[in-house]
Amino acid sequence: MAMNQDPHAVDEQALAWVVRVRDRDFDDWEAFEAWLATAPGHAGAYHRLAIADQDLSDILPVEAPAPLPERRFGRRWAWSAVAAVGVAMLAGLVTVRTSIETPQHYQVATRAGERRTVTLEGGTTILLNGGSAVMLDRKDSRFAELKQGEALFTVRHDTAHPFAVQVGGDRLVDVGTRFDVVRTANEMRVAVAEGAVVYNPAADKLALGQGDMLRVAAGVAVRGKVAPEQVGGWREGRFVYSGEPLSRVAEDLSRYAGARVEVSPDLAGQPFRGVIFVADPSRLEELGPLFRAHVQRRGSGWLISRR
Amino acid sequence: MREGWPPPAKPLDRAHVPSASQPALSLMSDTGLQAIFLANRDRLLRFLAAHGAGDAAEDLLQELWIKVSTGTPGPVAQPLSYLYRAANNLMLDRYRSVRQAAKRDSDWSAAETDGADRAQDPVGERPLIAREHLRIVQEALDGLGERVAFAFRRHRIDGVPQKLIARELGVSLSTVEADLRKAYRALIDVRRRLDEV
Repeated sequence: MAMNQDPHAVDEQALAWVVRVRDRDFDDWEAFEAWLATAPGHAGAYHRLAIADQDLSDILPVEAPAPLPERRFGRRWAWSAVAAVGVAMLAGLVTVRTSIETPQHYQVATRAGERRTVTLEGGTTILLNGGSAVMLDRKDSRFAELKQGEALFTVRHDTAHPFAVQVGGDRLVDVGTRFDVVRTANEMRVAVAEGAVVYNPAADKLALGQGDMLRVAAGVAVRGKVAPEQVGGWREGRFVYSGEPLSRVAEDLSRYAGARVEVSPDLAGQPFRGVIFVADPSRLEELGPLFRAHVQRRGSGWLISRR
Repeated sequence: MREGWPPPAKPLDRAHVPSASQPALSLMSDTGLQAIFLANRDRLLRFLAAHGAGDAAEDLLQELWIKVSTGTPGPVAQPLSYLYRAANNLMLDRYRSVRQAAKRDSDWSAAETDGADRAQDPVGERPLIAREHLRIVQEALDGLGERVAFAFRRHRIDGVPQKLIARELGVSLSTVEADLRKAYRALIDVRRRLDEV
């Protein structure tokens, strides 16, 4: 490093650090610190470029970009989409499912334990829970597909353009509303906090109003009630149960805490009733007494087992 | 219509929902973050010093502590990384304010000499300018090739981790990093030119 004090080389290294540190997964802070401390000019070069990077926000499209300039752009992006799908198929097991991205559609995803808000044109916000993904449409800000996980939709109602959420083969259409949708490998759940949504308007035409919830699994839909103010409680780490099995609790905690939470098979079906408030997902062991069970670290995750 | 409809109104029907105003259990987050701060105080101080904080390092650490104690960051997945990033942002904010103070001084002397005031651009032109900027940015990115443009968009606009972008493109992480450097270099250059107009 000491030999590299040519200003261009330093500048190039500083840019490399800007790119690396910018990655939300970056965690090699000690290596970064070592580089900064190597020579007095390093910190200054990094600061200059990091600020230049921040300043780019003024000239870049925001998260959900307005329709892109037409031109040949479409085809170029399509190439990348094909590549992405090819890689996903070759890799076989991809942890975060890559979906087909076309120039028109783009995916926003969160890692487990992460939360993210997406604001669409027309005042709709989508709050994504951890381990979740939605596919959005650059040309239609009134549509979202929940690919996996959980999302809380707050929709500004527009009679002429109702907002639609696709969940696997099912479709939810808002009638001006705030509602929460969960998609797991074998079920779909929706709970309405405000307003109303229509479930499968083309087929079932089932209207769900404030405080209604619907659970669809294996082709059977079960309707239930929920306290509207509890809908989307996961935003604050608050979970309310009224007799749901512990396996479902574990599933919610996994999504929220960013670590896999499992239940031993003998406890999986045990009903749980109560309110959990998780402010520190790294201390789930404190939930043990509430479940009348042991909650222990296992590998990078947690295990709920009989004590 | 689905089979089994209308549904057997069971287990979720008539759900009794307890009040959340009295959480049955509360796991404190802030104290957790504070504990990690205290355990890593020296490391964070070293980090600020490496950033060139000099005599201000202790003050900045104090500022970070106040942020950690009073802010409500919500659950933090990687607490130490979170603290490092917060420290990094503090240094950048500091650099920016120092630079702005210097710029104000020089703007002042420039205004003295030629009397020009760019702040008087009519507001109505802003959207047009923004659209024009987007077009210029788009062209600059396109000029770097589709892979670079794709990587940059996924990284900077969609916020996708670089490792995942590498997987999507079927290239190595270092290739993605090199692509992003190329994109940043070009866009910082574009930005500089736009500022000069």
